[in-house]
Amino acid sequence: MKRNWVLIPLVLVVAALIKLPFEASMAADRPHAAGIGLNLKTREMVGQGMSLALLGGFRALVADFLWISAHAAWEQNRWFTMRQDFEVVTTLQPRAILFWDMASWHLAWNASHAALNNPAESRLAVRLRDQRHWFRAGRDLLERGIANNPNNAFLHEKLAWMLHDKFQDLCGAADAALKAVKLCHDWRQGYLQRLAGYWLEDCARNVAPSRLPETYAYWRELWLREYAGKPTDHWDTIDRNISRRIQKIEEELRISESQRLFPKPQPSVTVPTRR
Amino acid sequence: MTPAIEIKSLTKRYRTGLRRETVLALDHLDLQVEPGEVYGLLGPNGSGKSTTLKLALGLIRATAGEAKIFGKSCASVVSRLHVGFLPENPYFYRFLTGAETLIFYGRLCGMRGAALAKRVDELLQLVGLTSAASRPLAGYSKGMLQRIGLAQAMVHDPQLLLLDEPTAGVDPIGSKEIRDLIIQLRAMGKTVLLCSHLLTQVQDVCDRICILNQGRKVREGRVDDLLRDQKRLCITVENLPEAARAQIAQWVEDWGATVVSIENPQTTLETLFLDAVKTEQPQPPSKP
Amino acid sequence: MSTVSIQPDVVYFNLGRVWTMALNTLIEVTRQKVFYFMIVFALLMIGAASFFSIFSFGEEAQYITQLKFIKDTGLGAISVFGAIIAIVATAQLLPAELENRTIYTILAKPVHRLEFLLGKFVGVVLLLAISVTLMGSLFLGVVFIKDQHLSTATYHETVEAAESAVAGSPELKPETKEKVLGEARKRAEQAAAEIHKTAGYRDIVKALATTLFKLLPVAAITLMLSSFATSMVFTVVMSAMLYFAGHLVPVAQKFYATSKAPPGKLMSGIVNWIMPNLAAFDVADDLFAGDALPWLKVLKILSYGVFYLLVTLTLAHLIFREREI
Repeated sequence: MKRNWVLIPLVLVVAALIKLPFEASMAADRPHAAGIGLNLKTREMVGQGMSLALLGGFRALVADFLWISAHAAWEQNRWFTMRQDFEVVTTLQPRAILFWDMASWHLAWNASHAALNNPAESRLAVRLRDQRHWFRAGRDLLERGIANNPNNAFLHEKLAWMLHDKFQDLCGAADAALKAVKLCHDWRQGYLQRLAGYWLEDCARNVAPSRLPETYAYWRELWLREYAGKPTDHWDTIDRNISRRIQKIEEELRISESQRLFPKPQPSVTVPTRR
Repeated sequence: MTPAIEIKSLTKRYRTGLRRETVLALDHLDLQVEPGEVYGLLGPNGSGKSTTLKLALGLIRATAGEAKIFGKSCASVVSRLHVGFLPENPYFYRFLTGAETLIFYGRLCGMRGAALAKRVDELLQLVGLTSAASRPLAGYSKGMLQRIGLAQAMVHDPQLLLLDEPTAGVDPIGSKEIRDLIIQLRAMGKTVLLCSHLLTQVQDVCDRICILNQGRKVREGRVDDLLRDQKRLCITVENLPEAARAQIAQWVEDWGATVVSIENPQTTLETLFLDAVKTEQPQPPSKP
Repeated sequence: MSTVSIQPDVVYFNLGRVWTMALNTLIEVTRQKVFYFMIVFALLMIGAASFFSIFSFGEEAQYITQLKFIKDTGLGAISVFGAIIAIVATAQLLPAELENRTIYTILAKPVHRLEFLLGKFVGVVLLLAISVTLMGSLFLGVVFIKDQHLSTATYHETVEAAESAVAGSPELKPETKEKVLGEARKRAEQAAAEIHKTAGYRDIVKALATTLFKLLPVAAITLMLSSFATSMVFTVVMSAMLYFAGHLVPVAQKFYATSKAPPGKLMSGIVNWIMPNLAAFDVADDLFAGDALPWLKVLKILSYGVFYLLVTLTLAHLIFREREI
């Protein structure tokens, strides 16, 4: 009996010495594992940890059922219940992109629309305030989603659209779209690349003229990598669109002729002036 | 000759309750069982009999003193190579049949294959359970369970058997069969340590007994020696006429002795029962 | 009467005895109807998931959500019922032996206590392996059936839509019609391939493997608790609590790193240093979200389970060999 007083703590100590580096190695293998490798707020981590502990394997199933409940709340216009359900669902399954996407959409688009057109509220100012409240709710949720899935291009794209449409934040939208481009590696890449370029140009023209050189660099690099010398698809409009934009920016920035991608066309025929 | 069981100054204290009060179950017990004898361990409830058995089997550790089986310490696994144990009210895995039970225990003793199968058949025959070998133990009577228990205790052919209440709850016929088996085992050279409350049975079977009380040995010795009343004499006669009784009584008193009783000896209830059950068939009621 | 001497001098640890005990334990445990009911219930749940998934969501990309629902139900059921079986089956191993007194006849034989303990434990491990394999096979079967159903439905839908569009435009040239139908068939095949990918069979197998190997240290912890506990209820409740605590290890790690208050630091430190990180076995969410986890890294997780199993069994052995029966 007495020897156990020594042996048992010894075993625990040896186990702890092996366990900690072992676990660190496993965590390094899964940098995006829910709650493990991410820099989440403590509250969020505790919420996820508790749900994992208490619900265990049924976490995903509970999330699925709550999702249906949230869907029902949407149909019945119970917006606050819907939001609560979304918060729980995303805490239970932070890796399910579907939930973040649809939930933030419901908040920023549907709930805000209902708030703006609320027949029970006669004051426009109040309705506008409520609408913006739902915009922010949607953005907060989406940003939480990005914190949980930092390498997901889709969520960055959704954030870009939300900033563009609901917040009229052209530069913010452009930055989010650029992040999405960096992370995207599938068939959506081409579309996102152009979207980021258009919005970056909008940002430079309407909000931050200092970003025009950045826009030029972006379009130039994209053109050379993806479009120059490559056969166009039957939508020739894309190539013409991009090349025209590059040309225009080169004019505005007064890029030297030798550096330009699209030098000014020299007049090929001198038309004699009539005397 | 190495004693079968050698216990020297064996002490066991149990700690009970949170206040760590101790109960002294065995107090410096000295005991020795020689090979080839049937040794009875008696005592009231709580006298330390079960504690002694458990210490001998290594199920609990002694607080002080030592216990050895054939020279090997009881705390070691190797001492159990030559011990077979039949616990009080044995339960086995009820879903196993009689044969499967013996095979299970045989495998635990390291036996295998054809040798094990042969041994199982021998044992089933020895304890008289060949016909019930393929029935699950859940369907066995108390007596059958005791007998299969005895068989599993002997599966690895141990030299020493520890039997705790082997005939408890068994009917008189079964009880006699078990006792005959114990005598047979002694004839085979085995050593048996028997714990029982049925004193008449112990008396019939044991060579030596030990009586424990409150963890201490209060009596030990050969049954004959302990039980014999040296002061009195019994003479059994046959065909003595009634008239001679008074004369004999007088003759005894002339010698200076006292006549304590002159009466017909009694057979035992057990003998009567066994005879009645074996020889007399119940008569069908006669028709009016 | 010749002197009896006991040869050999030592009884060595014997795997044969362990295996004998293990098989006996497996039979004993499978005879208890409660485990049958649990497994049957889990199987029903998995089967029902396939049926209920149709009613689950009403949005686009239905196949994703249907398959998600089935996968979530299946793995959830296997994980939860597996944990219940692991804890309850192990918790009753020693108390049942003590109550039935069968332990006396076994330990009275030349059997090491470690052989006895390991034998009982291996019996439960066999039960868990069989249960998870059974439930996992049904689960994979259900996913496969749904996958086939959805992919053929999607394929036909896409192709039929194109065919009806072509049929409704008689002005098109035959070559154009062929091109459109060809493209439609290609899209349909791509959509079907997407569905197959969403089913993710290899990921399911990985998740099943980690689920099973998570149950091993859980059962071992229960065994360790029961090696000194006298009440089965205590063992079950404590095991369940430690099971929950094991999932909080990542949170405890974060607390330990950021907390300043000594009590918080001490508590989170203890959890961090002693408890196995059971959350590390939950790879399903991350796998289904598209994270890559090659088999080598899965093996690392499995060996972590084995490591904790060995540590806990060692503790159980140290405790049990001193126990008075």
